Order: sequence, then C-alpha cells, then structure tokens
Amino acid sequence: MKVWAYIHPKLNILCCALLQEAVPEGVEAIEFEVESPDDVVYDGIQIRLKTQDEKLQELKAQKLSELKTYVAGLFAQTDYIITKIAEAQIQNDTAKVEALKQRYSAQFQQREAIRAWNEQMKQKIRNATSLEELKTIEIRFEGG
Amino acid sequence: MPYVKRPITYPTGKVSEQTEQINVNFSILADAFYNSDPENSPIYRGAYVGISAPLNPKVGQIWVDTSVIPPLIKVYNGTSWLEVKPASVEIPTTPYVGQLWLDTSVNPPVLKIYDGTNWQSNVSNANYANNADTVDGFHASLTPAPNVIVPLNASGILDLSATYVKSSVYTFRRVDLTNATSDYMLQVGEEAIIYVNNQQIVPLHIATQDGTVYEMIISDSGQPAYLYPNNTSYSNQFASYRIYACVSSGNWILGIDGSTTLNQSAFFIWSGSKRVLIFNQTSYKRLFAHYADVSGYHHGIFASFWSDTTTPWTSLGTFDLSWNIRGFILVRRLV
Repeated sequence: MKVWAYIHPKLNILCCALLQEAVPEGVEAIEFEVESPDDVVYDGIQIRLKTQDEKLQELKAQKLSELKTYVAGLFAQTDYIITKIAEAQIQNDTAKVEALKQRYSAQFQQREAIRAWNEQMKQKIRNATSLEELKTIEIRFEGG
Repeated sequence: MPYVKRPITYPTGKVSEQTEQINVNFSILADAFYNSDPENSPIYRGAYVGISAPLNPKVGQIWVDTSVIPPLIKVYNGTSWLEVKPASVEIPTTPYVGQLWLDTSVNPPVLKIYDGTNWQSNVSNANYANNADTVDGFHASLTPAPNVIVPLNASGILDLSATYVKSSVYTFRRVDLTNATSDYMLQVGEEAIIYVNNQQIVPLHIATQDGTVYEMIISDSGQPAYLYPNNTSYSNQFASYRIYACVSSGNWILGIDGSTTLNQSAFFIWSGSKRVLIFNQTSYKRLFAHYADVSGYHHGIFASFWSDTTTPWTSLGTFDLSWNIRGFILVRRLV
C-alpha cells in the first residue's frame, strides 16, 4: 500500500495518510510503498522506512508479550492448587501438603510442561532471524 | 288456478242490457290478464314466467325464461325475444335508453349508459386515466418526487433515491458506498454498507463530525486490523485492550491483553466478526466492541481509544483488515 508520511503541524508527531487527499493542506508529505503505516518511522532527523532489523526487533517484542499473556492464562487454570498448598503450608499441615501434591500431581506435571514450552518458545522467538520466520511462530500450547 | 272464461247468461229486458255491458267489461279485463289479450284492449302486461315463451307476445312484453338457471329476463321487440343483460361487454347494435355497456376498449374499462343518442359515462377517459393511480390526489410512481407515493419496486424494495430522504428520526434508509470515491455524511438513522471483495485496505468514505455515534458490523477481519481515522495513522496516539475467553488444549481460558502505553497508530481491531460502537467527540474518541473469532472458540470484548483531544475526527477512515477479506462493513449512524 501507498502512504504519504508527514509530521503533523500541530501535534508534532509522525502521521501517514492512506489517501493522498488526507494530507493536510500546505503540508509536505513523503510517499512510501509499505505493508503497513507502522513501517514508517521518524528518527528525529528524517522520516524513513524502518530497517528489517528494527521491524524484526519490534515483532519479537510483540510476540514475547503475547506469549507472556498466553502463558499467564494457562497457569491461571491451575493456580487454585497452588493456593491450597500454600494455605496448608501456612498451617504447618505437612500431611495435607503431601496429600495435595499427590492428588494434583498431573496438574503439576502440566505446569512444568507449560514452563518448559514457554522457555522453548521464548528461545525460538529470540533466535528468529527474519520476519517471515517470526510470523510462522504460532503461540499455542498443545501439551497436557 | 288456470283462467277459464265463464260467460254470464243474462235475462232479457233493460236489466239485461246493463248486465251485458258488465259482462263485456269483465271480458276485457280478463283478457288483460290472459297472455293472448286483444291488441286494442286495455292491457296489463305482467311478466310472463315459464319455461317457454308466451303464445301471443306483444311488443315490450317481458318473459322470465325459467328454462335455465338462473332465469333470464327477456323482452319482446315484435319479432324476437331479446335478453336483458345488466351490462354488455360488446357494444349493443340496437341499444335502448338506459342500457348499460362496459366499454372494454379502454383500460381500465368504463361503464356507460345509453341516453337514446349517445353512450354516456360519468368519467371522461382523460380524467379517469389521469386519476386512476391517485390516493387523496397523490399520484403513485416508482420515481421518488415531492408529493408522490412510491411503491415497492420489482425486487420488493422501497427504493428512494439519495435526493429525497433526509430525516431526523430513525429510518431504514441504506446507502451503498462500496464504490464511493468521496466521503458521504450519513444522517441519523441512515446506514452505509461497504461490500469487501477480496480486499485488505478498505476506505469507508464516510464523513463524520464531533458529537456523532455509530454502530458498525464487520463481517470478518484478520489480526492485527486497524481503523485509521481521517485515513491517517497518528504515531503512538492510540491504545487498546481486550478481555477474552478461548479454548486452549481443550480448556476454556480467560485472558486480558493489550496496550499499557500509547503505542499504536490507529484504532486496533481484533480478529473475527465484530459489532462496534464508535463515539466521536473531539475530546473523547473511542470505540468499544464485541467480537467472536470465526472458529467460534474465541470470544471477547475490546476497547480502543485515541488519546488526542483536539484533532477533529472528520472522516471515519480506512480499514486495514490485515489480509484479503470477502464480506461487508455496515455502518449505522445512531446520533
């Protein structure tokens, strides 16, 4: 897609018009061919396209954030078990702690599996060397 | 009881002359009620009822022919019996005064009555044709115009042109902006539909202004999708978040994610089918939505806001649907 990038005269921020007629009158805009308006950046000196590396680092940060939220959601499903055990420990009821560990051993294993998968995913995202590779990484836990 | 003459035998003398005169008068009166009554006598012609015609009919005599059901009313013209019809659909060759004729040579047909010289109608053809389609004086037409009644068209749609509907109350008016090339200002109660045919970038071409509220239905989109207000991205002026439920590894999970800082350049739109409420107040520009992913296992609500409080939102903007989509975007102005 084409965009016309300019510095907004009042807001003093980078804007990209998706239609040429959306450029404010009297404002000088630079035309770019991009995949998204987010591909354009103002570095304080000039308006330019983001480099591949900048885009890669941005997408990595986004993916990692997405992963963190997703994993938190997975853990939330069994967090009540941790609460129960913590309560038993506060009461110094070691027998109950052991009983709970036995009872919920499958859930503990799943939490370990989620942690391991989370570490693998983080590594996979950090090691990605291209946008294409990064985009193919799907955040979906299939274990457990 | 059949009528049988019983002649009076009168005596001779003066009384007999008077009696004979009475007898003659009675005979004349009796003949008047007999279907073979004499031609030059006072005649009372009651309708003759029978399955065959009377034997000695007189001109103008009426015969109710009961040989058919329903019976026919016939009148004798001196030669033959003519059927009396309420109205003929063919112009009578020898009309009589008061005869009715349904003139089918015009559309719609006109009922006429013969006045002895001409066929008369209480509607002239010109006026009749001119007024046939009116209600209280208003004509019907498929072309909308002032003081015109517009019917549903051949597709069953009340199609009012862009010229004639401007209302401050809720209506069902819809405009198709699929191929619009300039912005259209929706009125309250108007809705715009934009069909999306294998497109990722979709300009809405809808003008907007401070104080307006819209409801938007988006049939589908990928993720991340964006609505660029004023057809423009504004760096780091937007934030958005969502609360969602989805199925993961066979279990439903609840999640919250989104921006914690102003790190977006447009209204962020999550994937799937959506119903969106858009509030455009220059100092308060945001949207709220409910969405469901196409798989059906991902539901959520999201909100996205534009932090700027001074820039007017004058064009609803352009969608980036993230990938090529077939579907529609329906925008309804509520306020």
